[in-house]
Amino acid sequence: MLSVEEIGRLLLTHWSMLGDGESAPGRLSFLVVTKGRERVSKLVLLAFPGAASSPRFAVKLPRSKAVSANLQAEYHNLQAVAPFASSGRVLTPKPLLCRDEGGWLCLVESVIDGVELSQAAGVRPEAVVEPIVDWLVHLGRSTLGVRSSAGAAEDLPDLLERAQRYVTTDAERHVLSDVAGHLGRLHAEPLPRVFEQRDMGPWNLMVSRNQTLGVLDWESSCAGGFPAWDLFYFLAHYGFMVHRSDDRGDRMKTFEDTFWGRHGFSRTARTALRRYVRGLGLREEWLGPLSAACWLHHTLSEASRLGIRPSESLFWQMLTATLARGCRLSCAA
Amino acid sequence: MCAPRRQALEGKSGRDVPGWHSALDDQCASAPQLRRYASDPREGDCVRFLPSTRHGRALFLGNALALLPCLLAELFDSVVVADSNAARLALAQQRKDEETIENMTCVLTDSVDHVPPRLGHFHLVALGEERPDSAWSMPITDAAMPSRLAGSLVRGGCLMYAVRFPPLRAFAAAARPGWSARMPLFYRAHARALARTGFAEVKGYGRRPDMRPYQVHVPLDEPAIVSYWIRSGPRPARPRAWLRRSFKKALGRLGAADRLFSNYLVVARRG
Repeated sequence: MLSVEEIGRLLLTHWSMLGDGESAPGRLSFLVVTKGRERVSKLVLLAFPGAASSPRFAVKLPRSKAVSANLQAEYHNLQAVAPFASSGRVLTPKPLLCRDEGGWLCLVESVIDGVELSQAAGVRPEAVVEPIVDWLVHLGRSTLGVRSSAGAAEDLPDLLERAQRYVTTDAERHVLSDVAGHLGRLHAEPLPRVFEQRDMGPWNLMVSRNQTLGVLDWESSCAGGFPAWDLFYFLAHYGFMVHRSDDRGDRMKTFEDTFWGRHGFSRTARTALRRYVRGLGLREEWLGPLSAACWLHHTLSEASRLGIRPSESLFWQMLTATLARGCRLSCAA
Repeated sequence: MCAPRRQALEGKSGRDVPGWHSALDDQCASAPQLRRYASDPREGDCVRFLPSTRHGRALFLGNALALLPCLLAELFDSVVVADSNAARLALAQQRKDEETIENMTCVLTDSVDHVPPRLGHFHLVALGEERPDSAWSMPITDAAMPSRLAGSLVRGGCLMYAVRFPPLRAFAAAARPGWSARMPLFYRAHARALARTGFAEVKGYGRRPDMRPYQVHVPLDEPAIVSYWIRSGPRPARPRAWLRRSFKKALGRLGAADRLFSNYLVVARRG
């Protein structure tokens, strides 16, 4: 695996690509962030040239060679969306360098300054949700039909087929059969396919002093994805954060309140959905099945990553809660 | 990497738990942080601070249940795990067998303060942590210990250990009459002590948060980065937090920001 010392040498070797015309510094120093608790998680090194007071690059490294491909995908996807990824008050990292060193990937991106949304005190939810919705609309409109060399999102029949491999109990099969009915009807509709970030949790949003927002972590992103999935995921998790819902029971209550409530954050969420639906020209009746498909996708990701049964995932509960409401989601005022 | 070992490193739970994990459960009942120490991948991220040329022999001295020796076994030709606790060592041996770590040897020692001469010389000596997260962890127990450890290292070999102390209790102890610390508390004094005993290059990394899992390593030899870390922390909304942050900034301006870290990793290279 690559050491901090090797990363420093690597960046200096490729300084002509990174330095923006500046002369190479004598050395690079790093602040190392190791948040993810899984073997598949990545390390992030903030690189400071010389005695600089702010980081110049963010270097992402895999903990195991097996996840090098995810970083490669992030690089290709960031390249694909680079022309339109930043808009309004929302910024995204610029992909600068991707090197394979004996199977260990090293991805270098520009730094987005700020603090994680969860640590930014005194930020009103609307001040975050509105620019994020506008940005998602912009990203969606700009990336209709955009392709990336990292591959495209799977289609709904493929998602259902993949789900069949995970369900093991009669209860799980029953839920899947219910979802299949809704997704079958959705598949026949003229859905626009957009570029998805696919990990739009508050932990990947940075808020700077001047209230710009940075969207980090594009390794799960994909071209040809589904509209509104990023927004569902973001609203659900931002709702957990706003309501400080930590345990599963609290989270489910918050989830139901966010998407079917009438007051507080649910009003913000409903306005966000309405704005998005109008912005991308979606039909309101698509929202329910689209959200069911989104929760099913995240259930399968979690089941595969953590080695759990689908019904053990919180996303599965979110899926069943959506189905229990007839797979209907309204954004009307 | 073989499948059982990979599963263990991924910390899988439930149906496919390896046997040594079950045995660890008993030990973790009274010390939940031990599970992180033994299986959280973040525990192994400190190997990134080792020099890029990693080969030869590594010695891990201390609590053998650590995840670190398993990762060192991937980086070095061979790893010796020496612990003075027979029960822990037996569990480490069970892990080694189940995860088929062939280049690891478990050795029972009288004390982890001394490296038994029979073990030979090493390219890395890593000291494990003996105490729970809320307690002191000062693996260098006396001023002569760095010199003893340096004697077990080949030229250019590295010593790695972590220091952790509860600041208020440490200051209270230091204020008591008759206090004479056998080793200094703060990083800079450690660096000086190591330099005196033949370590040509010493680096320190502040660990945050204070309790496991550690998620940020701040290079203590880089004042600009320490200042950045203080600046970029959560924006305080309450007066007490604001005062604390102002105090940190003031220490930074005085060039003493390393004193904010009562939990840090030291990597020293022998000259």
